[in-house]
Amino acid sequence: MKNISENTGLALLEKLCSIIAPTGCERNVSRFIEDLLADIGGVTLSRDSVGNLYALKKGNGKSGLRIMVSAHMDEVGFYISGIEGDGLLSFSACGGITDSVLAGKAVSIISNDGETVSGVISAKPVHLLSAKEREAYTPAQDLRIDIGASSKEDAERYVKVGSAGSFDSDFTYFGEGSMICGRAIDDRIGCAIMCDLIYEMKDCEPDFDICFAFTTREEIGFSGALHAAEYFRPDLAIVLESTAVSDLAGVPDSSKVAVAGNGPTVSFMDRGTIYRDEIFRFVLETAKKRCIMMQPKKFVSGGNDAKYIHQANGGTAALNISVPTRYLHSASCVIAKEDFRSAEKLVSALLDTDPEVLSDLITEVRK
Amino acid sequence: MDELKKLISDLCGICTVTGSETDADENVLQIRDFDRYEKDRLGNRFLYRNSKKKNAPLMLIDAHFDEVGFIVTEILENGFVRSVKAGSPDMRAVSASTVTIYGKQPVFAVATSTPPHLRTGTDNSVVKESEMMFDTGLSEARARELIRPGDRVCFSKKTRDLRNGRFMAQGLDNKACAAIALYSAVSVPTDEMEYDVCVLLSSGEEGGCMGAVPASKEVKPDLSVVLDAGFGRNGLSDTPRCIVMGKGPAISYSSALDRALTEKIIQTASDDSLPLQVIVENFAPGTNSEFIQHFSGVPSALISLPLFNMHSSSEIVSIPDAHATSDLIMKLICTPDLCAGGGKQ
Amino acid sequence: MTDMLKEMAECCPVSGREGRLLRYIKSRLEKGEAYIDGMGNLAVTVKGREKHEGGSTVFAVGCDIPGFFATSVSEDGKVYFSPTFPVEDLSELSGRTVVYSGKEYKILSAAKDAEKTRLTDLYVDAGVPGASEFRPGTWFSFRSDIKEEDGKITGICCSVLSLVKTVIDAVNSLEPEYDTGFLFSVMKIQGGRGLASLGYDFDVGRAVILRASEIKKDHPTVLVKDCRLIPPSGLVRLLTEAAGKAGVPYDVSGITGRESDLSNAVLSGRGNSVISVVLPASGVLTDSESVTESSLRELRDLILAVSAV
Repeated sequence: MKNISENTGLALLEKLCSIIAPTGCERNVSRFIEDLLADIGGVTLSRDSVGNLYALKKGNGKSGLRIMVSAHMDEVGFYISGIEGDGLLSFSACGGITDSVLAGKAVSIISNDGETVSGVISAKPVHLLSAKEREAYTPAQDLRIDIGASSKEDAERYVKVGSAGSFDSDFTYFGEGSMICGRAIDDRIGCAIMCDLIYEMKDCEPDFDICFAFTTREEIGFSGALHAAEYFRPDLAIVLESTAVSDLAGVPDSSKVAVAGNGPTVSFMDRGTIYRDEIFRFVLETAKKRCIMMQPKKFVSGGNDAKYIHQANGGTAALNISVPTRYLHSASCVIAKEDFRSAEKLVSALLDTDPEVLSDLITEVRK
Repeated sequence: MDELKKLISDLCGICTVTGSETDADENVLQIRDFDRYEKDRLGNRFLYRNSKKKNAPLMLIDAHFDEVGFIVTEILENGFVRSVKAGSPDMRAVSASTVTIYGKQPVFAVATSTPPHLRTGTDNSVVKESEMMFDTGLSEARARELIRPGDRVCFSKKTRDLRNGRFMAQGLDNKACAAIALYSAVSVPTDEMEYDVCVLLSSGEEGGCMGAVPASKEVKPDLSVVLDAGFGRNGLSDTPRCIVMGKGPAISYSSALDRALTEKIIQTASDDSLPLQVIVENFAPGTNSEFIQHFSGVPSALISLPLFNMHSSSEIVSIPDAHATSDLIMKLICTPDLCAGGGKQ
Repeated sequence: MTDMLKEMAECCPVSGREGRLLRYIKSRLEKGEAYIDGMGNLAVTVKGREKHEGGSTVFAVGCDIPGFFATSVSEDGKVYFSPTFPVEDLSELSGRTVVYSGKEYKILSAAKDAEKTRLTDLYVDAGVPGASEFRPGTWFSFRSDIKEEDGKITGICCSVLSLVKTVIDAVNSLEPEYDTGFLFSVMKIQGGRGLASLGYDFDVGRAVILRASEIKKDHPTVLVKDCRLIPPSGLVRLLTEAAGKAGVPYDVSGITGRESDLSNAVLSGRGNSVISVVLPASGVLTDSESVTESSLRELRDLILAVSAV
């Protein structure tokens, strides 16, 4: 891969977001990242049986600490569950996609030859619905993907039962360049941050071993990160994610969760994990000291790989840093551009912490 | 890309939400290929092409030019925008779709969707017009500079090629038919035309067929052929009115339209082996055709192009069907005696 | 103000029977050339310094109030009737007070089950000598007790009547640049029937339909959509910019539904560019119907501002 510097930052995020890889198809992303990291150098790459990709950055031996940073490669998407006589495809959503964001959306399905074929999620025409039917969203099982096939045989030339796909959306800057709208931001943004950090560190050795784990299966809740934690046995795990926020007009502050543009979030609690207060405070202090924009997540909602990681190996200290994302798990996820940069700075700052400070923190946590 | 497909794509790329039909860029209309071009106060556009034949009757080919969308009513804090529907866009397709707000400049925005933690357990009700918002990512002040109440909003203009020559775009209802009307009218050599032709790109159809009536009264044609999108037939959409995609256009029998003209068109298609499906409407089809017939007294027929996902953010037509429709219209322009009495009264 | 409104209410301008009110209005106009057209509307033109080459701005306001036509009178003095306005739940009419020829009557119901009230269950008990005043086709309306209190006008039908009065005030204050038209129209409640002559009475450049509605706004509201009517975006801008320039407070909104049908206004004559402006009202057709005096003044100023462009 030439021009590595073109594969950093927002340009890298855009490329990662363009890869169709719903749960089960993470190889499409891990192949790209593997090639990129091999060119960057400075890390040892390996894969495990559940598809996780590990990039191990060996430390200089000064400290025996083991820090894991993880982000998942899979996205929400669809599996084709049936092909009908008229060429329409029934599908099953993988990951939590609500019925409200499906109808009318363009999709890309990975075709039999490994390329992609375009389609549209179609519903019964609104004009032919009764007044009552119009009031509710059509459930996913009653929607169909139309790739333009004229019959079952015609459709089978391109896809099969089990073919996978996801939303087809462009990566768009808007709000006069301050915002980004795109697909699969959850969690290619975590992957992009990790690649950028690896690039930043390529010529140096940190004081401790760092494992950057690109994990699988987060969206379906059978997390590959569990195996990553058992494999690397970290003392501290930093989970990078996207978090759903509702900082929309008219929503009271208490329900917003966080505000896009106010920096990445750190959680004290979500639906999967209660984070140790010492660690939560440590992140807040680090951000303050280094003047990095950051905000605590102000609502208990969502969940991530930390749910499995913090229970691994008899208990592992974990923290979660997320980029506030509007319209999560839809074709049009929205983030503030600056939040991506601030999240990267914050993780970099955490990895730059004096190993003795981190050691003391972990000891404190284990008391 | 073939010329007809390019014209369909270009027309779909401009915003003509009901009430803003005349704001749209005219460069795409190929006006120079017509003999005369006029606009009226209601947003109707008239493109005339004359036959070499003396005293030729006048055929009106109507294709409504407006599309469904939204109209801005308010700008809220943080640059969120409220609007109302123009016509009846499919509200099921709105949440998390992307749109363009045509303010002082085009503004990209995302239609909001309710985040999981704010949804109540079993509530699956479709977002209401009054709850829907567009997220511009701008500050309130900047949004107010660029966007005003009355500005139009369309689903983001994006095209995709599907299998079998099928084409996805926004506003195919009814830009696909508008393209067919324009393309057909200029493709027939004038010495073969049995009629002077007026292509009417009418306004206001999605709001209740308001533009075509005064327009047709003004033009006073001898007959009119209305082109509009019809419901494609598949497993989701299977009533008798639905039309198979890939088998060409359909013509409608309706008690509200001119039976003789309808049957002459069916005969003409059959004589030349041009594909034409036949459907029967429950009374009036719900298009400009019955309005022109009733209010202007002009014998009218309705020809429909099969379309999937009508009024949603991604509509689909078949380009081969569009060509078949165009072939039929061109044939009709060359077919004498379609209207009763034949020739100007 | 309320004296005039009470006089207007006494004209009992039920749909189709607006003549007496229209003559009253004509007598109160201090300007303009007025005539009654073929539909029964009062069409008024106030001449400006010149004629606008794009056609005139015309303001239209419906003058009819909801009311009833007696359909039959029984021997025992029961007057059966038909309302001129849509009623979703007929049982709501039971117990309401109506007035005819200066006398008040209560609407009674013979329905055993209120939920299943039919039109033929409802009647006015005029008694045997009293009923002789009614015959099929006699029209009457709700008792209207129009009052002014705390900056509000209250009473049934106050919204329509105060709207009409506001238009009269605007006509009388107008010094227009261009010829400006006013159509005091009939049978608005039946779907804007009177508007069918709009394009015949005037050379319409743009028509502004004024109506009162229960809308949650404080000021006269320009509608980007009024049910099926979608005005051109340029017309929305013309009104909002005129109001903004003249410093007149206004709101913007859109109404979805079947509340109004302005297709007659659009299709009349050679076809017209039409937009609605709504006067916010509350409690329409109840005893607590009201409009604010401030919004009436703002509406008058809006009419003056728009006719200046």
